[in-house]
Amino acid sequence: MPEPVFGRYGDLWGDQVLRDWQDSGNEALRAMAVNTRYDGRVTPAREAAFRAFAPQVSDKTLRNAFKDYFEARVRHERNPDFLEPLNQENIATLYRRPVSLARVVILNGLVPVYQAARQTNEVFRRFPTRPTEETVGDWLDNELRDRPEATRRSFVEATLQEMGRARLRQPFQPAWATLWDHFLLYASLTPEHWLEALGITWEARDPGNPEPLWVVVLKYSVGEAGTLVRPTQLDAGWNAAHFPTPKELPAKNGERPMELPADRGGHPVDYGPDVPGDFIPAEFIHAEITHSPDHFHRIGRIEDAQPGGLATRRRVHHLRLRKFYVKEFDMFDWMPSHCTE
Amino acid sequence: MEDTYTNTEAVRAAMAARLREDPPALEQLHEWLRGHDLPPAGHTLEPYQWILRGLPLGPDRFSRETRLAEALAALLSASQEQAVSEEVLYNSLMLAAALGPQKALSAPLREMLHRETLTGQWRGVELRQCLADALMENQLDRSLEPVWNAMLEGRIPADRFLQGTPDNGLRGVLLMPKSETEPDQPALDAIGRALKEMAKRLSERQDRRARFREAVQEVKNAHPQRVIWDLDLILQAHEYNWPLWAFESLPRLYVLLETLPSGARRLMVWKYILYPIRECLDSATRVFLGGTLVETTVPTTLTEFLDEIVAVLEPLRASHQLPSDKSLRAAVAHELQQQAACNQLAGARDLAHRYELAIEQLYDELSVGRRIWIVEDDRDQAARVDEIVTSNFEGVKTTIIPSERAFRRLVDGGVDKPDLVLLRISPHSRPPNEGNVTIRSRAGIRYARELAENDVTRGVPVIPYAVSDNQVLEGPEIRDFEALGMPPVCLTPQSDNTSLIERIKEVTQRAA
Repeated sequence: MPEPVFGRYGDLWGDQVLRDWQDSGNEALRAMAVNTRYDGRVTPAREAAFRAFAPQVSDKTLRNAFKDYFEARVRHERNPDFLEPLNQENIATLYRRPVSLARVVILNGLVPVYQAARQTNEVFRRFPTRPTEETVGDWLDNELRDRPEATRRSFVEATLQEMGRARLRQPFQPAWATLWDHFLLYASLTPEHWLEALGITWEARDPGNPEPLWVVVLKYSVGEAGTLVRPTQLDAGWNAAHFPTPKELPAKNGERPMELPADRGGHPVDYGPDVPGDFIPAEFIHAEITHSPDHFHRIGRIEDAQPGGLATRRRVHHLRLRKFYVKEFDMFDWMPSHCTE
Repeated sequence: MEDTYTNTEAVRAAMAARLREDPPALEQLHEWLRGHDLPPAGHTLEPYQWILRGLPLGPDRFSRETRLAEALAALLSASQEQAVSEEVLYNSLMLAAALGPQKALSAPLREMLHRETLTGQWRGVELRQCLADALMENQLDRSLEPVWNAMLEGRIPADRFLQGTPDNGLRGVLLMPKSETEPDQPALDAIGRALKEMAKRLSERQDRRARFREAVQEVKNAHPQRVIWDLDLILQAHEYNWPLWAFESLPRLYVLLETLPSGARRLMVWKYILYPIRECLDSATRVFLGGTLVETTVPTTLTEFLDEIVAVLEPLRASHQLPSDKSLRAAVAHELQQQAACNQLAGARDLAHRYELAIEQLYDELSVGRRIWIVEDDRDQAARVDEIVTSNFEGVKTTIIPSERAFRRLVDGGVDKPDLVLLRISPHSRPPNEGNVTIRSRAGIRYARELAENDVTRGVPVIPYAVSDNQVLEGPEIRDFEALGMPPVCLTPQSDNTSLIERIKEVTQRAA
């Protein structure tokens, strides 16, 4: 039975490679194949831009195209594709009134920011010259653990300042965020759940001895973020942790298919405990901004961020999406259940 | 489906296969370094971090690291910087830094340094900075020592290829081996010099002790296998004559050298630890940094008491935050007072008495300070006062000021602030004749006022003294000083100088 590519049954570009990935037994490749097939939010124009990175489709070129497209047209672009007219359908327009956003930043993942700042900012002068995951974790523990709140705050403020400087040197797109009200459902829980609210996964290098993660919650307004966009697989790059959302509700009883507004956002793969009412937070991206010290909300340390297996996460998320959209349509009509079983 | 897949295991399996190939798969390594052929795990970790994840954790790790370093070295040697993307260069250099020290990597990194063609940045990080990091971590000899020293001293011209901060310089030095033939030994002499340079740079900072301790800790962390760091650091401090505050910020100033058959201990110890037992000890075998640390032998009968003192004073010293030397001594005096009171309460009068003696001794030292000006134009009297001061107070440096010109030169010349000024006045002086100003011509009160108004000497205690046959001092200048609350001390030719000594103690204790 044929399956779509980017939600469309056209020339089925890359179909054979995607089929191979689905049959590979490799859970991450399978996830990437399914996402590529069912992410109809990738517009035809964006798909064309993406295809240019793999003119001859093969296993290798398609894998690398995700990375290369992301680096060239998203990550380092001052005008990334997700804000260009070719992605117009995914730009959210609802939030004109004051609405706050929540973003979670993993400090361990800011190696280049700290490396550059080490030369000029005293706060980061002891950042390791061999920044492995282990030495970075130790450094963060040394700077933040058992330190007074004021010390932690000034460290985070300096980090935000340096992120802003780094952005001016070379953009680092996109920023992933959820609505603050949605995040509040997780905010009282432990820092592990803050990551869940944003669907952020961090696979430990050594599961038996995971490095600590330091995470920071930022709160800021939609106005400061600028344009909000519903994300696609191409904005996540070569990342199987993403899970797409449908672009439109399938047609019923001969009616025209109903488009799902971009304002609703995507949905992070929530691998944590159920939140009340089977609620699933919204997920947006926006251009990287310079965060002011006022945006800092909380900081936390995660001992063990093991998110569980990818297949399980995806299966559970698929079922949650189905429950969430049950009044509107059957999620399995968009992405069949076998995709995550 | 069994859900056990992890991206790390996927990378590990792929790398294990490719690193077994001979010759190593350079093309594949290049692909990994540009972020290709990696698992779909997002873009938070840089490719070099994924490659490191690909190294196994078990017994094969060392050989696999070496193999990877050889492959990376071959790749670096085969490619010119201009022909390689910034992403690949960044990841190559960071991988080299993470794998170091590796014999294979040293040469290609040096070649890159000598070519001086590396430019650009990746994710906002200057690639030259990455090269400096990789060089630091892959040193096999001391050939880069001048580069690190220049960074330490902050004297790298802006157009120099390799830039770096003093912290970078320190890091470079502490990762440098003692020699090519002793790669596992730190270059202690270079570290001693580097820490002195750091102390010099930090000397004006309020948080200098904390910052210096950080630097020392970094040194220790770089060579965690070395167990005699405490002794090493003391000897380096002595060799390179570190400032007192830096020396007293070291983690330990109590080093047991030997336990004799009798149970007595030969040790190197901070002198204040010995104050409560000083009169029971033989003179020191060796002294370091002007006697701040001594090598001595403590008899068995005193070792228990010594341990008690060490347990109290060492943590206090090692965590002291205030920058001045005097503040540390004041903290020690306070702690000794507490110990004296506790022992008194516990009925241990002998121990309480020992602590009290130590406090007295410390107060003498604390209150006198280290620099005393003697403003005196009579050579014989100057020698007499100098003798009184130096023979009654330890570690004092006196400066005799014999004329107004010398006084003016010191006060206006931005010299180091004195801790005390002894000012000769004349009991029967008359108003000075214009153009004929001498110290005796009622200049004392003018000097005292100038000292009080000068930015450097403001607040420095002044003790006026007069030399007179008569015990009762009279005259307008005497009255001026009395009005200022500084009644002059009288030195008669026959007096035993006690009044001056007591006044010095009293005035400077109050100032302390």
